Amino acid sequence: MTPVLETVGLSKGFDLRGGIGQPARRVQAVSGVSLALMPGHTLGIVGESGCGKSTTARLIMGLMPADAGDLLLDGKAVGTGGGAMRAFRRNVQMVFQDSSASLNPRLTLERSVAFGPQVHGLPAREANARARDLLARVGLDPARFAGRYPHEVSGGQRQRVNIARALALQPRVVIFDEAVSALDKSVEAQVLNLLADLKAEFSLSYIFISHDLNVVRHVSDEVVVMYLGQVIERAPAADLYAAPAHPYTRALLASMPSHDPDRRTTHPPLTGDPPSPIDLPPGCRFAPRCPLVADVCLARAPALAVRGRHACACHLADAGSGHPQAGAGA
Amino acid sequence: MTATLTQDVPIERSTGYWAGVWSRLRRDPVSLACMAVLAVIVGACVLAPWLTSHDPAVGSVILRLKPVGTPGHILGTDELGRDMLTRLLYGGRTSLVMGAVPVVLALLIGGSLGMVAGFVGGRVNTAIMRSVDVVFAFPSILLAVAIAGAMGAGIVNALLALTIVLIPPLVRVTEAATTQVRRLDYVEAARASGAGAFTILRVHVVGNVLGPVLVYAASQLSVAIIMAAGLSFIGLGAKPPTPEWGLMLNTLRGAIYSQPMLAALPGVFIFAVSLSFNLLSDGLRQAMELG
Repeated sequence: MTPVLETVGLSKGFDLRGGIGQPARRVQAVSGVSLALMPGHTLGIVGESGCGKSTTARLIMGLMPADAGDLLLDGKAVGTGGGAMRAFRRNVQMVFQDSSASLNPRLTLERSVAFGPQVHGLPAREANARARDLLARVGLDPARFAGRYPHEVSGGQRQRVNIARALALQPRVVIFDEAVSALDKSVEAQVLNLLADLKAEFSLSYIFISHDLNVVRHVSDEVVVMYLGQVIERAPAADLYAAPAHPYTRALLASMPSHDPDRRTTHPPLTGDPPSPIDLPPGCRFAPRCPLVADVCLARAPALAVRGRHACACHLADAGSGHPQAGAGA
Repeated sequence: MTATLTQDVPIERSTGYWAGVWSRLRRDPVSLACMAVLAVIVGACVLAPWLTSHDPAVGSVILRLKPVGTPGHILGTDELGRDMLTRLLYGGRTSLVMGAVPVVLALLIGGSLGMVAGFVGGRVNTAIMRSVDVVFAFPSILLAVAIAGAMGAGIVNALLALTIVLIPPLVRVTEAATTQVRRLDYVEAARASGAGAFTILRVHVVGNVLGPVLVYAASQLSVAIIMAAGLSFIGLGAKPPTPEWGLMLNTLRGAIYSQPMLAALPGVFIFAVSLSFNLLSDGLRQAMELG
């Protein structure tokens, strides 16, 4: 099966202007990220703050230009021209985290939802009709909500409007960038159920970015773990949570709260902050925080080694890497 | 998805943003008073030919410097025997135009430049903002005097000088507001929907930048009226016999000991209009904050 959306080696760095007498430096936000989203699937992306999750989403949406890498829709490369990008955007839409900042305070909810279709040439009357249908579909009675302004409704309702807006272009892929993270737990559950219903109804595929490991496990078919701009592990959700291969993933899962005593892991939790992504040293990016670090980790960066459907970038998972504990940990 | 029945169902409409601002402004007594003062003065100036029977340019040798309350000349006569009320009303036309036109022009030019600088960012921003900083290096009244002086006296030249002086602060205010809006997610979402830069500016940026910029422009209106009067006072704006408040202040200077009331009258009008615009801009800002 061809992935509906695929990225190959997506990279993005930002230049930091140096102060007086200091050289300019470069932050490597995303390095060689390759993802594949199968039709009808949900791809979860997890990682700490600053690991490049959001930048990856913005690169996919074309909100900032990538330094390198390719974007494929249905196996075909997306052109960089204006027309190709517009066509791509009809297919891929995004829901942002901050529900209030992502709605124009001067537009009614109806107009916010109708804006996208109008940009793509739908007459105002039809765009408004579609907006009202979608508002109804996400659980907001159009008679009550269509003429309201964003500040007059709750955060959960605003996020429903954002979902309606993303769906207004009838996309096939929707990217959720921490889209439920700011909501109350009960509202979050309602929105997640809504997302599952919409996915089935409109045959959508999701990319679900979150730092909440429980939510990602609940919604995802496949999960990608990112650390400092790189994909370090990728596996079907059940596999990843049952048998994490990368020491970082293990530590991440160990920090995950669980209600079930049998599920609680005993791995030591992660300490410290991720190192700065400025001028990264050679070797494994996780080495400075890794409990199982060896000489080879500081010398050489591990490649993403694929074993079946489980991929992991760690010398431990590669028996020939020269790591003293290689093969034992995974 | 189909376009269905929901189209024609009546929906609850909230009051729009500007309707809300207006209803809050209407409840503020100070703003209301300012609007009343401005309405009376501006209305009287516009309707001057129908309100007075005198000619603003025709004087009388025997009726010079008559005090306020003289029969036939309610506000007295000036040093050439011309009716003061008539001259104040006709002068208001010149003074208000000289104050308002530069602000409107600066709002259009400076607002556009600021919005482009803020929205495009990068080198365009640097180019526009640094050019503006050059003008900022001079005190504004001094710059207006220098420009008007270099171009020669006259109403049009004074208008241009004031416009040039008022553009930089408006660029700066608009640029700051635009830069702030540009970073918000709804602009990103609009870009993600495939909208072009112009559509995004029109639908998502202008409406959100307009508020603070209009408040600032209203406060500049009071500054511009004072500066316009100032230019005329020192002979760089309106020329005699054109009635203009600043110029009238100058020509009546000689009468300040004999008829102080008379000499102060143009100043009172300048003060009332300028203060009203200033207070109104404060009220407008407050009315907008609550939205």
